[in-house]
Amino acid sequence: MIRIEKLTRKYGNLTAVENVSFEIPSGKIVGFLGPNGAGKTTTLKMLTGFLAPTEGNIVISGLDMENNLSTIKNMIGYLPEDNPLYEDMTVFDYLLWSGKLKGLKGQKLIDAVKNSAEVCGLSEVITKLIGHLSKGYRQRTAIANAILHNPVILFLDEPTSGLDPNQAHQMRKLIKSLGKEKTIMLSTHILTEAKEVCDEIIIINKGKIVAKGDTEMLLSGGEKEQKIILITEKNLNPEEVKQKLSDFGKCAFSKTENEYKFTIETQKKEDVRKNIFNFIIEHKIPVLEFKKETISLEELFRKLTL
Amino acid sequence: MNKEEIKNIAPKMESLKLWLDKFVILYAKETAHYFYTPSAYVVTVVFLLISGYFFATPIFLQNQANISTFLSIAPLLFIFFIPAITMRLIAEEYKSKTIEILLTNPVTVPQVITAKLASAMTLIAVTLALTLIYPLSISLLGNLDMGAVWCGYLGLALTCLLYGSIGMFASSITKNQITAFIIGFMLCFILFVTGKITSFVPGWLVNITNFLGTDSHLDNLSRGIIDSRDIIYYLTVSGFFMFLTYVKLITSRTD
Repeated sequence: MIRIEKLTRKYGNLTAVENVSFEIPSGKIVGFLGPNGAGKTTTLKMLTGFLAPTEGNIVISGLDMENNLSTIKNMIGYLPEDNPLYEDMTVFDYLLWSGKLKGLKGQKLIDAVKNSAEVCGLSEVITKLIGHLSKGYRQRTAIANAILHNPVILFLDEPTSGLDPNQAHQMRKLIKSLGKEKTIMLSTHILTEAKEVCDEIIIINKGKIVAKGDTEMLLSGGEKEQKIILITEKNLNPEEVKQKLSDFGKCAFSKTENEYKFTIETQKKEDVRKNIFNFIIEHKIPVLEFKKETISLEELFRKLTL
Repeated sequence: MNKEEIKNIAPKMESLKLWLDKFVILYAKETAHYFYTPSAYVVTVVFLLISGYFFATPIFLQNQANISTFLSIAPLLFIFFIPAITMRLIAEEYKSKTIEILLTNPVTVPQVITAKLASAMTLIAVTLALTLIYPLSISLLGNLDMGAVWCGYLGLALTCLLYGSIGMFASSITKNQITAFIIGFMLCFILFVTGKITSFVPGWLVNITNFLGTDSHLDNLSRGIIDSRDIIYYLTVSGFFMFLTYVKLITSRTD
């Protein structure tokens, strides 16, 4: 589990991250979203120990970061932003060197290099110089390095940045499969990617957390409010239906040429759809459409970060 | 040593072994980089050509065969060549952002610094070893005081360590290799010149400039005199610049 408590990071007078707190439970894939300069990369750099926080604590698997830096470094895998690599080394030499630094030895080291190269689809280019690889293979090399020592936690800073759609799709598949046994925190600009891959989402803006929670819950407008849309045929008394639907929450009504549209907004915690459905059956309302309204991640992102 | 003492010392030995293991892994990579890239060979060959010219000139023009010309010109050449060798050590990691990969691995800053300096020293040691052909060729022509020669080489090796640690510090404060070279060159040059200006400074400054400059210390060793104060000078100043490099890398976490 990752726990961040009141984390602040300043660069001189500029506050990049301010009083950020959150928890990531084990085995979750968490998307870290935010516009450029929001503080995503700075937060990830602090979580990997590369930067020290100005204030606040980071606790990873129960260990305080500042007092257990070298132990924590062994527990995490990291894909930095812009994917820096030693271009004059071959993929194999780089993974071998990195594996040795991470404490792997002998057959275990060779097996780890082969396994991570295979998982990341690097077998074809294992003897090539990293400087000669395409962007996609470079990204895979960096991921292979991050998972080499089978860490329990992965921090991935924009893992699909610069990849073509096919490569990005493969990378997302890889992240999802890795997420079955690891805790993954990934920062991304690609909102569909976050929606597709992540169990939870944290949105940061101007160094502060502006939203966090389960991906589906966030996209359904948050647990504070439910919005149900009911579209019916016109052969009913709309005022009467509206009045009865008001029992479930605030009900608005509008009409088009062929249909009525009822919008029910409620603050209730329990899901009201079942009750509304029973009401529809009971009163034999000719329903054309019945749905819970969700907002797109783009809308949510813009709403929170503009 | 009784069982209790062995029990106490065993974990320390184990952590020392782990420390050295990481050092060797880092050192091997850095050293391989030097020997796989042409720039190191270019620097070495140019150094050998220039130092060879200064060694051979007295032999052919003055009919004098001695090593002193080489020993006196080599420190001046090192002011150019060592910052050229060390300029990439940390600046390149900053520029390519691989410093992030390096320092998020389970390694410590002292391991990184010592391994990088040791790799640069290896290249310089190989270059110095190749210059041994000069005293060996003279020893074939006549009698040569090999004790003085070895002392001279000890002085050169210590000068290389000093300039190397300065060069690495210069490399740690910028991401531009050329800037690192210029800063390293300037700092080495200041230490070199400080020892040469003793006759131009007020009396109370003579001893200070004499002690701070490399000149007097190297001069003693070149004459075959091993004085512990000279050795301590080289080790202390080298250690000081290594410490500055350490401070720079550590504070980059909090800056």
